[in-house]
Amino acid sequence: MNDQINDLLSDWLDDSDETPAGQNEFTFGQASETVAQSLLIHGLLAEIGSRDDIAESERIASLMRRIDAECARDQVEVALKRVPPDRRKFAILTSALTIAAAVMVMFVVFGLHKSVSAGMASLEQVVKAAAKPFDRTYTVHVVQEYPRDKHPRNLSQEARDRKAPEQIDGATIHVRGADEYVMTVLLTTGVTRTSGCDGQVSWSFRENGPVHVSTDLDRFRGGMPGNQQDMPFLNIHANLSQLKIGFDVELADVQETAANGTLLSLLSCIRKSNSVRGPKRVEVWFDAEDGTVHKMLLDGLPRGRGGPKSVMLELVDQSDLPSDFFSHHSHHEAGKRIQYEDE
Amino acid sequence: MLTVYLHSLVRDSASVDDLFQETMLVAWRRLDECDLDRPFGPWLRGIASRLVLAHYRKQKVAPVILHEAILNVVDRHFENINQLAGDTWDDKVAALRECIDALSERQKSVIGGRYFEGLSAAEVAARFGLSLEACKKRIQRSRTMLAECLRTKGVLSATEATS
Repeated sequence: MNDQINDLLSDWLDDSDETPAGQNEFTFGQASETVAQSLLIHGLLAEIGSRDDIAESERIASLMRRIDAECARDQVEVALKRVPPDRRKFAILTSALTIAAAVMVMFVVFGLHKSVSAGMASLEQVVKAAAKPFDRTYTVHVVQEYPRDKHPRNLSQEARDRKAPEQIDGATIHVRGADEYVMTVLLTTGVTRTSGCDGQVSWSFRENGPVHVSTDLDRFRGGMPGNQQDMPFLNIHANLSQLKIGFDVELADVQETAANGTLLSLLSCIRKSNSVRGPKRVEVWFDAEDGTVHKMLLDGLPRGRGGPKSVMLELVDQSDLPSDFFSHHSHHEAGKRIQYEDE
Repeated sequence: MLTVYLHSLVRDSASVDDLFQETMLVAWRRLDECDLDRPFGPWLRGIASRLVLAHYRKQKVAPVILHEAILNVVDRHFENINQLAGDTWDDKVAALRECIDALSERQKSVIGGRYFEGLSAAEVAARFGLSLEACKKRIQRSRTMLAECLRTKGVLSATEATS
């Protein structure tokens, strides 16, 4: 009987023809151990022989994109921005648990044997958390300015002389999900500029000027460090998504504790080459449990616009903001002139 | 590892990739049904085996290897391997490489061609001047020897259920 079994296994595993073999006369239940062990050996050899780290990373990334897409669909349905605060807290908790469980699933299945794979998985977790429609408030600190007396040779005189029109240091950014934000900065002229996006339109106004409104959601994201370099500074979700493409991402082997006791993990992202636009290095400190970004360092920002060399975003508040907070109406007096740019 | 399980039951790697994605997506959707107090692997493999069966049904193929008793034994071996020392699946089955090294040169050649170079049995046969049947028997004999070797190393359980 063993010969028959081996022949059948051989036909099944090594013949390119389809082998239904549903009509065998002997009972496979009786030889299940032999068959099972051969199948297992075949599976192990096939896996070892076809192991490809890049393909595995892509497989995971592809899977996470599909999960992302499902999550995004769910978010629309949940429409949390209309949910009362108590239910929102519950939703935050369950979302965090789901994300933590999902990451646990990924780690259990794939094993934590590659920091790069782990890095990408963590980044996916962070990206997903950033897309959740919960409110977060960050402050911006300039960590390092470029020295005024030293310039790269290929920098034009115009770029050397250029000074950023805004003072980014101390600016506040409020974000909700993937595309809602409000940011206020002090311009060098002494007036403040508030810009934002409510997911439907983007808008911007100076305290002494009209409100400019556009259906192009990226219309007023220019002018901030890195924004001209494919690293959308304001849109943290898009910023994080960008890292997956042009950066080598690793989950660092260090952790630190935030002031509120949250354990933070570090994703270290290094730009793959000079052909990739954006900062040279990005550090993302995130809540290891729910993926919330607590700190993000953008280092080596392009200096062509006269901005700083590196800036740090720091999470300062996670309180719920009013549901209409991201509409421009919440930030200026009634009757302010509104200029629709698309008309 | 889920891909090893799928490679055990499905022959072409494109289908393995598809089934891997489907399994993980279904697991994701049904995460709230998973009892986290129980081992996770059997739950995931249960989803995978159902998808594999559906995959074959769609192709109108009914392979005898998918006999329930065989799937149960395969599952038991996976769980045993999962209990072995080592942080990763590679650590747990490091013994397999030792077992491959212990094969005869002729066996190593056919296993190398079949799995590490991704050749079909016919291509391996042509390379080594063997008839297809002789080549298939040599590959199968090598797999049997690897299973015996892993049993002696305690990776596979030694119980034989044949009557």
